[in-house]
Amino acid sequence: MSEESQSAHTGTIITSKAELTIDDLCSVCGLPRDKIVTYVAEGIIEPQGDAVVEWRFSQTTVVELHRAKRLERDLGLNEAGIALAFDLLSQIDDLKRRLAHFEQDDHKRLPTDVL
Amino acid sequence: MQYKDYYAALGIKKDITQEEVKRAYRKLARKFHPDLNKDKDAEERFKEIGEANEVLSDPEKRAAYDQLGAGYQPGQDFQPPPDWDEGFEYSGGRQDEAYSEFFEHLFRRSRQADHAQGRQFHASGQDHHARVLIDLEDAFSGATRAIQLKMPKVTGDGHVITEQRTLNVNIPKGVQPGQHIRLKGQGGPGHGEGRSGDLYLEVEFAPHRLYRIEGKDIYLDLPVAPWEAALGAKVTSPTPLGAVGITIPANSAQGRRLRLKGRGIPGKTPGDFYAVLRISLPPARDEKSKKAYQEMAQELSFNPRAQLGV
Repeated sequence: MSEESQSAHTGTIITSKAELTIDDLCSVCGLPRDKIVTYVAEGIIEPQGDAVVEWRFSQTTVVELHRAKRLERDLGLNEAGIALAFDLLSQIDDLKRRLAHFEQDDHKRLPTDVL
Repeated sequence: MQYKDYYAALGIKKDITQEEVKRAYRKLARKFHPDLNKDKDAEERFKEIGEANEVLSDPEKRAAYDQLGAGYQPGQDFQPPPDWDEGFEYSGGRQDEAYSEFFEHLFRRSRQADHAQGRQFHASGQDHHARVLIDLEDAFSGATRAIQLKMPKVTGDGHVITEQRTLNVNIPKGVQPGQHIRLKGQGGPGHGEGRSGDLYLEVEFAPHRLYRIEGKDIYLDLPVAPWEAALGAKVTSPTPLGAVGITIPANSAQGRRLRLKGRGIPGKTPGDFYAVLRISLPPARDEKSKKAYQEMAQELSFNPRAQLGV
């Protein structure tokens, strides 16, 4: 584990393909089943399928669950708080991207528009 | 070993109540949490805050720390007196986090005892999360990046130390901003016979001089002359895959998006490339260009403010 790796590691890009069942998710993330059910109810994670047994989650859900766990542990957020944080974070990401767009534009436009 | 001033880390005075410790911690934790704050030093700062909180939020640990720390300055070389923690019992706290040598020495005795007694337990390692910054070009050709990771590691005698680790990672072709790359078994080590955790690398793109990236699509502001936009033209545009000819339809307005299918980030269904037209005005500095503008003003009955009702 600790040795410096000379050869490069190849990972897999995790996709939004829905393939994990609730039990898969429990074992991958080390969370109890009812916790996952609560997270779904709060809209923190979204499965495909209606009934719990039909639920299928994507690999990106694993990343979201890890983030949810960190926020809960470090900041004492409850499920509703996590859902809100997720929403706000994605809004911030979106705004930052758009801001970057405009800042880039300004930068480009100034020399000609100032004339 | 350096003495750590935990009160300073949380920005609080020594005579503060437990309730106030919690409040100070939460406030700073929200500010520097790596999931909420993407600044480079946020993670380091968050760790310091976490360590300070781990000690000060626990009345037993806090009492021991207070008793011991009187007279020490932050950063000062520190040697705990023998049997300094007699009569204190510690339990709980986060066992997966690597804190400073100071913390490990003072507050992680119990783990050593566990180890000495040969107690066995098995658990999977933690999944870890890190970010990697790549260039747009890397998404087209693939690349290898050396990633510096700080990982907590349990030593033979049961201490947890932070270990700097360099991992060479192949960035696969076709990766998009915000996507995660999973490296199996490269997270935290398992305990006993438990498997190692995975490492999740969040991919970020460095800002590009020319292009913007949205998902798998790429945008370029393409400057065009007024007559190119008005009359139509064939112009050359850069794309990450090399220069291509783009046909500007006649009567194109500012901001018109021209799509080149499949010239975005590669993949099973590749993204698209969009050239967004930006009409660039030639300056009227000399007589010739002034005359050309004057002719346009005379010949065209054009009111750019017609929409404003004036």
